Amino acid sequence: MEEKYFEISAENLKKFVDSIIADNFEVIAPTDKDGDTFYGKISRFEEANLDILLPKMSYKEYLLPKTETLLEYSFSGVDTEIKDGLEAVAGANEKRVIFGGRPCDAGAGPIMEKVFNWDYKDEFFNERFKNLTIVSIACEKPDNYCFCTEMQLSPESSYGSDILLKKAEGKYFAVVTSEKGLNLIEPYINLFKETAKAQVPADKDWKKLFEIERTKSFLDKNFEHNYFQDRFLSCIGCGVCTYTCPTCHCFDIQDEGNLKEGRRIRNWDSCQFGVFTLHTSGHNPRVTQGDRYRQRLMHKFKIYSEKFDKYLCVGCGRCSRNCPEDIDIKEVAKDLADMA
Amino acid sequence: MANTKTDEKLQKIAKDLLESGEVSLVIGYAKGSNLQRMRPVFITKAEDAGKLSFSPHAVQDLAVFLKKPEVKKFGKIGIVVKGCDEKAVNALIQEYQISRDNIKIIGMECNGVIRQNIADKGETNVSESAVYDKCLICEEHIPVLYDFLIESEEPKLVLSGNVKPYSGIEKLESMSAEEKNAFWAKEFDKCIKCYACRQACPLCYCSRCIVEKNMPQWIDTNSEETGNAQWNLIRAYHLSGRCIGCGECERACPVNIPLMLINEKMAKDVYNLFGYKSGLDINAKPVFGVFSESDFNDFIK
Repeated sequence: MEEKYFEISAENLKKFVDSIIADNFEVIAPTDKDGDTFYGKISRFEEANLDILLPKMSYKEYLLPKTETLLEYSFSGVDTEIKDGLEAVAGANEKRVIFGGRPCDAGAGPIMEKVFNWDYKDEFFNERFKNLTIVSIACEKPDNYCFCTEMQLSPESSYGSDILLKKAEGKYFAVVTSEKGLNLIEPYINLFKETAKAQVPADKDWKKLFEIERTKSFLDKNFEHNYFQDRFLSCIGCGVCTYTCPTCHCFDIQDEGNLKEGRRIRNWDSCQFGVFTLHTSGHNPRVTQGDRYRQRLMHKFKIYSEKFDKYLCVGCGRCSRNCPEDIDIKEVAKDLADMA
Repeated sequence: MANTKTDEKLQKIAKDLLESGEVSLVIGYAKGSNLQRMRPVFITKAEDAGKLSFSPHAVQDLAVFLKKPEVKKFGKIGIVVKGCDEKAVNALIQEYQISRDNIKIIGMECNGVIRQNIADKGETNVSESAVYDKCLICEEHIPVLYDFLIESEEPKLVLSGNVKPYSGIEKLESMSAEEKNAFWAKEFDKCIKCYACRQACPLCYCSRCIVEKNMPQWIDTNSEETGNAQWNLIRAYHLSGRCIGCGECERACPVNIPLMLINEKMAKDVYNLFGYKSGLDINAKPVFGVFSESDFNDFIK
């Protein structure tokens, strides 16, 4: 779809959000909880915290739940009954809107979509992804952990958003990029005023601190470099980086059940865990935490980009902010670029 | 930023230890990714000792690294610890995970560390409302065991009593079983099973955790009601009588589960029932590692 542009006052934006909530949309927005800000369901506009840069966790769980049932089975005599988990996912997210997320989080969706459709089409992911509507807000002040610009996005990127809101002089401009976005605002179109692209404030000239291509070229040639073992001696393998990451998508398939019934599920998993690559023979190709953190860097900045045209990182900086041992991935990616 | 007197003392001790060959590694703190953050640093050469630093932002419990195979292979290790963290070193010695002979303890007098989410917003002053709850009940501002002690230049933490540490415990104790269940069901619902609590814990050192044992699968793998409750409860039990209260599990938890309410409640109960506090004496036998005839047994009916 060709992009469309609208203007909306702050007051009308509030009305818009309250209206979609009244019309039974589940609106997920950054909201203050437990001393921090998390994405969560809001029941009115005021509950959204739009001043915060980024909630502590991403909204990945709405695309890839932390536990998802793939199938259920039960035995009755000699009969086995199997129920496809996909039935329960049908229509998921049709009435769900992520409101007030940032361009980095929005950018993660299409990046994950590539993985989930590369050879096998993951219908669970696809069903959730195609229905979820994303209304993001452009960032005015990225912090020192942010590096979306280095990761081929920008604080004002509309990539992955159905609607991108840009704040300017007390009002907002809405860049609508998809039919899904247009359908969402259609019933409330009187709150919006269509405008021309030229009226929307131009993106600022965001500066890059390093070139991610250089990070990749270091990784291409230095698998055995001492840097990894030395730098990540401080990694405790907690996996917080991967669990809070909007693009990390590894999962583990498990069966849970008893003699009568059970289910096959997939749970979030992490390359930072020692058992992630432990073979049944007892051999583990990734013995040290240095090996494991290197894998994370390799996957994000090298392996994925060789298969697809993007990197597996949107530069949100969550892994750095949330790392209990203060490992800053931006600093690491820059170190590698500097050594290339 | 320039070195403080504390930093200089610390660097001197580390330099001497490495130069004399008494240790082959010093684990300490260095300046971190922003002015309000510190990070672990591993010093193996005397000339790198200048990286060492200490401040009320030194939140990590570095004893966690003593369980790490990559660190263990250094053999003799020097470690920078606050009073709370040092109790973890003691508990590891008590449980035969490390030998007292192989560790040089550089104890830091500490008047409290600033909660990281507040520090990230710019807070630099140690105050009643800025520090962790563990600091408000701290009885080991000076570590109980050390080879070197560095006294603090920071002002003492002044307590008005207005901030009640671990106030949630009292609330929980007054709840009915159903209410408690509902409270924890809501908290554990947030759990994403990243196991950061386990990894950040200096005393969770099993080379293969029970959740990773799958023949049979003891703990449900799901991250829903059953799996989350089983995980958090089993961890609470494995830490009872052992947790030294460093609070690293709660700090590492990316979804803010108040894990210290469980751990502190367990520690309180263990103290009330057995008169035992973990990590205070390397010669004491771990409370659940010994049987005493005087142990209460009125639960046997």
